[in-house]
Amino acid sequence: MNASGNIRPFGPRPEEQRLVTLCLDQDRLAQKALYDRYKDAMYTLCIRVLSKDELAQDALQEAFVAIFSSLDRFRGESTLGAWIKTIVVRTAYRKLKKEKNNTEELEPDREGELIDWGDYLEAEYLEKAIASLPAGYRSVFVLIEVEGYAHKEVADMLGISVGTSKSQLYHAKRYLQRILTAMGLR
Amino acid sequence: MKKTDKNHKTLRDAIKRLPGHEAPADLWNRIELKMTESHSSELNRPVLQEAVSELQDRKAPGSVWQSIERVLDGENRKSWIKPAVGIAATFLVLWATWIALPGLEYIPPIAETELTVIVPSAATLTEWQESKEAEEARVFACLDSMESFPVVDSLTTRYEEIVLSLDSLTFLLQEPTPHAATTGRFKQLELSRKKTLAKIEQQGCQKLGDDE
Repeated sequence: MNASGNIRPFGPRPEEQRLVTLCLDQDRLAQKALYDRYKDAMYTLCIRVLSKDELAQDALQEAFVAIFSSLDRFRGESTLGAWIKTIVVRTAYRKLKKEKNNTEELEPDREGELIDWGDYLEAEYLEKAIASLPAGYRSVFVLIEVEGYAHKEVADMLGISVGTSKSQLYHAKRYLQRILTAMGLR
Repeated sequence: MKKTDKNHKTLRDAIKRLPGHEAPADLWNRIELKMTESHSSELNRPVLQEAVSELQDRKAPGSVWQSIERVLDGENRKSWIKPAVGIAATFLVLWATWIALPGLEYIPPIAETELTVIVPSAATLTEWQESKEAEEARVFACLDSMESFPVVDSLTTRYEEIVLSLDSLTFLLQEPTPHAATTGRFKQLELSRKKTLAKIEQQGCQKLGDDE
C-alpha cells in the first residue's frame, strides 16, 4: 500500500518499466520524463522536511543524480515511486543533519494529556506550523503523518530507532499544538 | 498502543489539503549538468560491467614479479641514477667554480691551442695525475727561491682553485661512461690549468730573470 492508500502490485508499471530501461541506456529524454513524473511530489517532500527552498532544491538535485546513477540497482521489490521517494527522503534527511538544527527541548508534558486537534484545521496554517517545527521533529512528522510511512520504515531510512521515531512524532505533535495555539487557531 | 491524539481525523483531513509545491523549472538543467560532470552518462553500462567482471578473474603473469624483483635489486634504479648524479655533480662543480670561488676570471670556451688537453679515462687517470705533478714541479721550482709577487700570488691562488675543481671531476671520470658535460668541463678546466701554469712560469721566471 502506498502513501495514498492504493494497493498496487510491486514493481514498476509496464510504461514505467520502459522508461526505466531507456533511462538505463542514458536516454536523456527518458530521464527527463521520469524526473517530470516525480519532481513536484518529491520537491514538496523536500520542502516539508527541509523547510527552505534552496536546501530543498539542492536535495532534489542530489537525489535525482543519485537515482539515475543507481537505477540499475532497482530490483522491483517496491514500486518505482516508493524507491525514488526513499532515496529522496534519505538525501533530504542527510541535508537536514548537515544543517545541524538541534531538536528543541520541550517542557515535560503532563502525563496522560491527549493532543486535541479540534474540529477543523486550516491546511495553510498547518503548513506554516510544520515549517516552524525543529528539524528532527519536522522530518519524522512529515514522513509519518504526511507521507504515510510506518515507524519501522522511518527508523530504517533515517538510521534511528523505532522508539526515537515514536518519541519524535509525539513531541512534534505537542509542538505543533503549541504553535497552532499561539497562532490563535486552536 | 497508547492513544496520544484526540480528533486525529481533523489532522488527517488538514494534511490532505496541504498544498503541493512545483519544482523550479531550471532544476532539471542543474541535474543534467551534474550528471555530465560526474561522468554518469554512460552508454550500455551493463556491457562495461560484464567486461569488468571478466577482468577480475584474471591473474597477473609470473613475469611481472620478476620485473619487480629486478627493480628491487636496484638494476633499473642504477640506469637512471648514474646520469642524474653526474649532472648534479657537474652543476655542483659549476656552482663552486663560478659562484662560490670569488676572483676567478671568466674562462672562455675551449679554443684551438698548442696546449694539448687530454681527458683521462679511468685507466689513465694515474698518468694524468703524474704528468700534472711533473708540470707543477717544474713551475714551482722556479718560484721556490723568489719572494712572492702579487701577480704570481693571485695566479697561484687561481691555479689551486682550478685543481680543486679538476680533482672533483676526476671522481666522475672514473665512471664507465662519463657524462658529456663532465668531460667537456674537464677539458675546459684542464686548458685553464695549463694556461695558468704557463703564466705563472712566465711571470715568475721573467721576474727572476729581471732581478738577475
